[in-house]
Amino acid sequence: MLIIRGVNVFPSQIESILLETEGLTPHYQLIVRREDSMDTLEVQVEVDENIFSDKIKTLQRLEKKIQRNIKDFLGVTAKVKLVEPRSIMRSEGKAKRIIDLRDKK
Amino acid sequence: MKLEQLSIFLENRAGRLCEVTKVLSEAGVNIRALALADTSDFGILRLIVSDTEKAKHTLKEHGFTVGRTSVVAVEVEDKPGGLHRVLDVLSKEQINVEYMYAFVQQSKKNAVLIFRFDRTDQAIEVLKRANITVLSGDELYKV
Repeated sequence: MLIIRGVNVFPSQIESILLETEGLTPHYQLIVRREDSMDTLEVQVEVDENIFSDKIKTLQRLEKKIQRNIKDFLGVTAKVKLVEPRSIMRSEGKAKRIIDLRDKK
Repeated sequence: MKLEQLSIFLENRAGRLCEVTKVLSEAGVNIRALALADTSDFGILRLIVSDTEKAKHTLKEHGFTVGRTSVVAVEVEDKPGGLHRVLDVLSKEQINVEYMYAFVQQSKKNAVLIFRFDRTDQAIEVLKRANITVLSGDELYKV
């Protein structure tokens, strides 16, 4: 579990939001950073042929839709970033979903 | 009178475009026309190539997300007002251009405009009615 600006976030919740959004694969990764003492959450989602479009606006709409769903269901604002297929590391066994880059002090 | 265009999803970082050209180069596929649309995070590369099927297959093999879209190629005189005449016709018929790009053919004195429309069939009809030259794929894929 992650705590982002006081909100509990379970990766499984993000996963179900992605799966409910049409055409998305479950390949995603959560990047947590601390910028100016604020925690930020970036959700990286792989773009495969089901969701790809030659139009920029279609892909940007998708980003916004995911962002809105995360905000609605979890109450946390996340940046959604579309990434190339297979750019998220595949691991054998338990997938590494969270990359926490916050300084542990 | 439609043309096959490939579109490729690219992350906006150094070396990605180079990876695409490497794959196409090794496959012996020639790029006839290209346009790159970019946002802060990602870009979409749009290509008209000599062999669409081969290019798509090879790029997919190398892990790229590739899409295929029908676009329309129009030939105009390479002189002031060439593009304007075409856009004027489209504008009067309320046809929206999703995006477009252009190139000049070395062998001819004409310029080629590539259009992506939402209502492609209607656009072709309007262009033809205005006596604008719509090119077939075969005329463009070949060098």
